[in-house]
Amino acid sequence: MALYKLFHYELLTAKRSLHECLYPIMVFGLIVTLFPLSVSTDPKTLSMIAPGVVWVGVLLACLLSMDRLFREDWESGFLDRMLLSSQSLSVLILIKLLAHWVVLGLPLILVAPLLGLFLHLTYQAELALVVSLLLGTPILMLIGAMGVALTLGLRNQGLLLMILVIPFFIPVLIFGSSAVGSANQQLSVTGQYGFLAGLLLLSLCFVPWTIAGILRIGVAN
Amino acid sequence: MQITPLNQLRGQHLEATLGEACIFSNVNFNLENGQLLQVLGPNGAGKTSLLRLICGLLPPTQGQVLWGDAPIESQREIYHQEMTFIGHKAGMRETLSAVENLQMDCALTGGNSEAAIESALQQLGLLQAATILVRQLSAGQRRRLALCRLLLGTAVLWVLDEPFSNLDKDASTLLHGFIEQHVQQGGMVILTCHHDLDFPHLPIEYLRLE
Amino acid sequence: MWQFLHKYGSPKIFYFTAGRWFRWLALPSLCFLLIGLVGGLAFVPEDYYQGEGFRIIYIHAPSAFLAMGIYSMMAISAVIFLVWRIKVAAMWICASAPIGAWFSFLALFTGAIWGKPMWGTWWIWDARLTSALILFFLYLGFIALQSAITDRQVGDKASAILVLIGVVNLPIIHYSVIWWNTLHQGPTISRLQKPAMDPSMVYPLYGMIIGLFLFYFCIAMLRIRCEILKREGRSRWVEDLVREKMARYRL
Repeated sequence: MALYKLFHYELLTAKRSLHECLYPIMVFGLIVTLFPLSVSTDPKTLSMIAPGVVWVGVLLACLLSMDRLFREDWESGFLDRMLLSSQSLSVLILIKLLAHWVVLGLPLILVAPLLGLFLHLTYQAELALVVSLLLGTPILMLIGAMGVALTLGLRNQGLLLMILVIPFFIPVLIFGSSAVGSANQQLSVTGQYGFLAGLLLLSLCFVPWTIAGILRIGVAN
Repeated sequence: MQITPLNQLRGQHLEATLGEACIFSNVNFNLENGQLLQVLGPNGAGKTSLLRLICGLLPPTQGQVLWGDAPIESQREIYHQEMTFIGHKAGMRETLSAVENLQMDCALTGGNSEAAIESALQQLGLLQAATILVRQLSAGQRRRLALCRLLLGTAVLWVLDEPFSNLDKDASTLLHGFIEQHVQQGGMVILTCHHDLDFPHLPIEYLRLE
Repeated sequence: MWQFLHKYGSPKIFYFTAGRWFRWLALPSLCFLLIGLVGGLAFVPEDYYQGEGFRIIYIHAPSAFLAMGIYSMMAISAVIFLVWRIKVAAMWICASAPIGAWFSFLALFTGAIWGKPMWGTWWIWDARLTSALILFFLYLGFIALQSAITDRQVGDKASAILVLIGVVNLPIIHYSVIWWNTLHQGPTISRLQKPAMDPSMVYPLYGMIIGLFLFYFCIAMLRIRCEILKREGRSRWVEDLVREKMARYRL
């Protein structure tokens, strides 16, 4: 009950500054728009590069959205209260991440097929895009959150976060874009889904706990 | 109402460093039920660091803080239930209202009803401002809102960092009253403060940091 | 084990131990490197398929091996630091990272030079090269984080945790890259089938690997001595040491 309440207030906090939650989606749209302008407008070429373009766009949008995950709470001192709560810290972090994903991840997943349409993806590929994003964006956010915790309060946090975290995004990017690509060529994609689901489970088990450990070493001071 | 669980907070050979520099070292103290401890020292002596260390926010370089017989790291959930910390920053979400913030606090600490929140807001004179977003509150009002958390919790130990800053005379008197009552009921209070405390009926212990 | 760790974990004792280790290891390292280099560059017969060009393997393969090896050394130190809180282990991580970054850069660089005669291009997105590139980026990220955190207490722990996160992720990244590579392997790139190496070609390679590993230890010992002096600059024994050295060299 208390945990549901916390989730509710996380969503409420996000709702009160809704415009900020829309920035990553705008960035996503803009990144994808750049490719037809810079590569080619030929439908065949676009459909070929589309899986990579959409996935890279999502990846960057996710990273940009991560910046606000702990920043405001750290500045206002709310993070201290989370650390001093009698609830388990990793559960609190998981709730926070879940709210973050609902507010910032889900809209990306809703917008992605539309942008896929502009890039001439087939219907199977659109489906694969949505499924792979459903499995993949939570992993991106979990890994990104570790980076945010490590870089909390440092100068140039945003850039540093990218340098630290992008190498760890590579497996998700490979399997996510390959799922969309394979579906585009009417090949089976269960293998990629399986791998993404496995990664998701693995990161769900370990990441909240790792983030709690990082926050406890005194990064918040 | 007497606070029943008898307990003891001890700091042993505490040392903290910031970057390269050692802020303080070999700090020892002992606090029991019904005691008030004031941490004294010039600016930069490490008063805030010491309080954060006592809360478990800052890991000490040396030494340990004991709650009862065990170090606080080994019993975080129990210790945090029995302790309330109010730091320099109010720790309130800017985009939530005063009531929503307190409700969130209840969810974090567990327990407490709507009635308790209302009475706390009333005692600190914030009922009028209860539904205004924290962003729009003045510094003094934020401070008062943070102090509401003292009335909501069931904590034995209060750790207060400069609790009197930004408070007007009325609020300051109120806070004196809260602290006095808490200590007389068997609670423990640790605070930092620049001016002399005005507690005619309470013995005050001092901890000096050079 | 416990006593051993604590004895050598004290920065003061380790400072002098590191100095001794450096003196003991420097000569063997040089010998092995000489054996490897002279053997590999002068005595080994040239490769049937690749001619003289293959000799770069005596730099390339050991560097790649070292880049991985140093990362695993850092991971072991990170565990030692986080579990037993031995400060020297954290300093070992700091001392190792730039060396590891240099070796992975060297592996990439020599790989590109080798690729030109072999594949006709400086770079191809081969699984091993890509993995090496990612490892290089991991090193750079690590160094970036370490230099960004000003509080050393926090910085040490954060770096150690990052190394461990990296070590858990490295196999995942590595195998996904291999899978990706087999998927995208274009038909135009035909890699030469490599026959098993003749033993006479392998021995210099072993020599190089051992020599470079010892070289890494030497450099890391020197770096860790600097690190200890920097961190313990205010303590008594460093002051005494400085006074003693100054007296000896009449400064």
